Amino acid sequence: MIIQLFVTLVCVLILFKAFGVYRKKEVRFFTFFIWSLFWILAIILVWQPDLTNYLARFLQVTRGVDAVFYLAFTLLFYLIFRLMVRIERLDQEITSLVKDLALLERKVHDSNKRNSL
Amino acid sequence: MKIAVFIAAYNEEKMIEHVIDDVHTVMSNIIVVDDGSTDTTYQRAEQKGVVVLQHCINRGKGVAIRTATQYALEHGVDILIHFDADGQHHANDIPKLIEPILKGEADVVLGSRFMHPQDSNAPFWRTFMLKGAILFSWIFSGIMLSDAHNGLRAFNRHALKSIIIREDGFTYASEILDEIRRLTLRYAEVPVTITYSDYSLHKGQSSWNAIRIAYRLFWRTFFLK
Repeated sequence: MIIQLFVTLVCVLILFKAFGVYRKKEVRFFTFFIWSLFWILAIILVWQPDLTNYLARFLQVTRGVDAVFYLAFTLLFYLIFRLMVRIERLDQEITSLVKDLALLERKVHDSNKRNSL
Repeated sequence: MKIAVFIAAYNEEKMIEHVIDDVHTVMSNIIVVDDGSTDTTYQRAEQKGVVVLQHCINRGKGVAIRTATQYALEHGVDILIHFDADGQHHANDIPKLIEPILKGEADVVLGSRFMHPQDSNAPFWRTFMLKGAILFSWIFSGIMLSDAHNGLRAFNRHALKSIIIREDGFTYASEILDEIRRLTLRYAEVPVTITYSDYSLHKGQSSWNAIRIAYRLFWRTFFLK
C-alpha cells in the first residue's frame, strides 16, 4: 500500500511537471501527450497489477511484473540511444556555428586589411 | 606557391609567442586558431602580426583544423602544415615536411619521430603507448605507419579540399588516416624531431585519453559512419 501511494505521488508530480513544461511551450503537445499517457498507465498498473497478466500472457512471460520490467528496460535503452544520437547532432550544430562565427569575424577583420594572408 | 603553417592553440599563453617566432624563421604565412582559450593566447598571437581566428568556446582540435582549412582554401593556400602550439615541434622540420609535396610525390606528408628514434626523447611509457596506438590505427585505418599522430603534417590543396573531418576532438587524427585510405591519397612519412618537455607532456594527450579516443573511434565506426 505504501509503495503504491509513493509511486502514485511520484507519477502525479511528473505529470504536473510535464504539464508545466507544456504550458511554457518547452515541449510539443505530442510529447506531452505521450508522456502523460505513460505516467497515467503507470498509475493504473500500480493500482491494478493484475492487468499486467494480460500483457504477460501475450508476451508469453510467467509474471506480469516481469513483462513490465522487460518492456521498461527496452524502452529506457531505446530512449538513451535516441538521446545520445540527438546530443551528437546538437554537438555537430554547435561546432558548425563556432567555426562559421570564427571565419565570419576574421572576414570582417580582413576587410580592414590587417594581418591577412 | 602559397604555403601556410597552421597552429591550433588552447590556453598556450606561455608558448605561443615562442612557437610563432620559431615558425617565422622558415615561413611567413601563419594561421593561428585560438580554440576558445581563457588566457591571453589570442592577444599574444595577434600582437605577433599573424592571422588569428578565434573560437568563442573550446570545441577541440578537430574543429580548429576545419576552421583553419576552410580559411586556407578561401585564401588560395596550396600547402598547409599542421604545427603544435606546445613547443614540441621544430620549425626546421618544415622544409623536409613539404619536400615530397613540392616534388609532386605525395598529397599528405606525416612527420615521424620513430624513423630516427635517436632524435626523440619520448619517455618509455609514452613510447609504449605510441606503439600501441600505431597498431590500433593500423587496425582501424588499414594504414601502417612508423608513428602515431604526432601532429606535424603537411597537406597539398587537393588533400585539403578532399579530406572531410567530422570529429571535434583528438580522434580527428585517426579520421585523417581513414580519409587518406578512402580517397587513395598519396602519402609519405619523413623523420622529424619531437622534443618532450614537462610543459608539453602536461599539455599533451594523457595516456588515459587513449581509452577515450578508442571509445570515440568505436562509436564513430559503428554508429556514425
